[in-house]
Amino acid sequence: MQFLYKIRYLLQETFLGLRRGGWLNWAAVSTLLVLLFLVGIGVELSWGVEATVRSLGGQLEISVYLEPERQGVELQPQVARLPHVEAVRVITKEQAWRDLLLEMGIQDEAALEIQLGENPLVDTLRVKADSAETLGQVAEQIRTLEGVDEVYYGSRIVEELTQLQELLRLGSLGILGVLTLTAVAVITTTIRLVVIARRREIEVMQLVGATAAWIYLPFVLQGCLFGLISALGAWGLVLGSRQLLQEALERLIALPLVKVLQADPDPLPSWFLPLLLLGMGISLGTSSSLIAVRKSAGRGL
Amino acid sequence: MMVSQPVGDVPRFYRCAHPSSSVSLPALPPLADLDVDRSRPRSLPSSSESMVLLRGVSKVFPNGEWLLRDVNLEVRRGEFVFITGVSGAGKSTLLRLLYGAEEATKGTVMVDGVCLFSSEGRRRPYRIPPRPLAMLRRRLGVVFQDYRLLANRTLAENVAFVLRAQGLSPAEIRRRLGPTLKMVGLADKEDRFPHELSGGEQQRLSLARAIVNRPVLLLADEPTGNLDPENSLLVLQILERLNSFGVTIIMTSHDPYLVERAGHRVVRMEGGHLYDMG
Repeated sequence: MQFLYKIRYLLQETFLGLRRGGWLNWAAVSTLLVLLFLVGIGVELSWGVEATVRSLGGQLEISVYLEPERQGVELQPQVARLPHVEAVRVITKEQAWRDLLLEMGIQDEAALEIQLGENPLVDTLRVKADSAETLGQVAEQIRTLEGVDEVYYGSRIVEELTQLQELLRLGSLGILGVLTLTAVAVITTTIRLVVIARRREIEVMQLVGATAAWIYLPFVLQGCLFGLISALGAWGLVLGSRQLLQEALERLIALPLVKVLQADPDPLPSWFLPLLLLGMGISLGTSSSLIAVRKSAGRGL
Repeated sequence: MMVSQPVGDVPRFYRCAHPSSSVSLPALPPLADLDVDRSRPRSLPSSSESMVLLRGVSKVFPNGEWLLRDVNLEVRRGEFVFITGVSGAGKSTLLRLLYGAEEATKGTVMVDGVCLFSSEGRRRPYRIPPRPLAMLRRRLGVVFQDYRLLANRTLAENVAFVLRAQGLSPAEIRRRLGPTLKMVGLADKEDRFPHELSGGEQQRLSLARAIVNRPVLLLADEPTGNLDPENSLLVLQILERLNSFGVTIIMTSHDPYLVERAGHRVVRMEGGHLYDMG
C-alpha cells in the first residue's frame, strides 16, 4: 500500500515536471529522437551493406581464363596453394561450351559446330577467395602465374561496398558523437530549468526533511521518460522508413540485378534494434537528468 | 549578566563523538567562560533532556565576519525561548545552525539528541550526513518572516505538501490536515491560494505547515516581523498553545513589547555573544 502510494507520488511529480517543462520537453525528446533514429538507420544500413558484401563475396568468384593450350587441372593445385584461396573449380572448355549452347537455346550441337568450327572456348578456373577484401590480392597473384591468360573479378562492386562501409562507420561515429553531446546538453538544460522553476518547492521539501532521493527521483524519472518516448518514436520512424531505406540501399549499391536484402543470409534479429534504441535512450535520458540534479542534491536551502 | 550556573545534562555532549572516533572529548570549559546565564530559576518540564545544545560554537562567514564567538546555549525540552537582538546580530543564522541550513565553524551543535556538527576532539569536524539530517528535520518545524508559501498551491495543498514530501499516504494526510488547520484558525479557507489570504493568515498558514508533522521543536524566525500587533499576538498565542502541548519553541524577535508581554525566557544576541536575560 505504502509502496503503491510512493509510485503514485513519483508519477504525479514526474508529470508535474513534464507540465512545467513545456516546450522544452519537446526539444529534449526531439533531439534524442533524431539521435536514436540516426542510430537505427545507421545500424540497419551498415548491417545491410555488410550482409551484401558478405553475400557478394560469396557469390563473386575470380574467373581465370587460361591460355588455349593449357589444361585447367594442371593449374588447379597451384592456384589452390595460394594464400586466401578458399576453393578452385575447374570448368573445362567442353563443359563451358555445353553450358553456352544450352543458354543460347541451341539444341542442334552439330549444326552450330559446323558454323563456328571447333570449340572456341578455353579452360576456366573459378576461384573463391576467403573474403571480399582479399579478392583483389588473390586475383593479382593468379595473374602472374604462367599459363594464365586473363583474370576477371567483381572488384569494383566489392571495393565500392567496402569503401561505403568504411565511410558509413566513420560518418556515423562522428555524427553520433556530436548528437549524443547535443542530446545530453538539451536534456540536462531542460531538467535543470524544471529544477529551477520548482526551487521554492524543493526548498520547502528540504526544510521538512524530504530525502534527496524523494526530491530528485521525479526529475530522473522525467529524463528516463524522455529516453523511453524518444526510443519508441525512433523505432517507429525506422520501421516506417525501412521500405524507403531498402530502395535507397539498392539504388546506392547500383546493383539492380542483385536483390540486396533478400540475398541477406543472416538478417538482423528483430529484437535487436528496438532493444538497442530503448537501452540507449533510457540510459542517455537518465544519465543526463542525473547530471542535472547532481549539483542541486546537496543539503541545500 | 555573566553570572553562570552549570549547563545541565553534560554527558549528552559525548553523543557528538563520531561512533568510530575513540578520541576522548576535552572537559567542559570552566563555568565562568560560559555565556549562558540562569540567574532566574525557572520551573522546567520534568524531562531533564535538552532539546538544543550549543557548546563553544563559533560561526565565521567567508568574508571574515564573526557572527558567533564561542557561544554556549542550552534549551530544554518544553521551553519557550525568545532570541532577541538588533537586525544582523545573527539571530537567523543561529536558527539556521539548528536546522542544518548552515554549518558552524567550530564547536558542537546538538538538536534533539542528534549531533549536527562537532569539531571537538577531532581533526576533521563531524558533519551530519544528508539522510540523518532529513530525518531530524522531520521532527522540526520552521517558520519564516516571509512565510515561504508555495504560490501556485492552495492552502490545504501547501500544508499537505509537507506530509507528501515525507512520503505519507493520502489518507494520513487527510486525517492530519483538519486538526492542524483548525488549530491555526484557517479551517474554512482550505481552497484559497496564498495571495488570497491576508498577511496574518499567510503566517498562520506557514505555522500550520510547520506543525502539521508534529514537531518536537519549532523554530520561528521573526514570525511576527511583518504583522500588525493583533496578528502578532494571534501567532504568539498559537505558539504558546503548542508550547503547552510540550513543543519546544525558539522564536526570534526584535519586538520588545511582544517579548516582554510573553514573559518567557529571553536570550539576547549581541556582538557574537549570547546573554541569557532570564
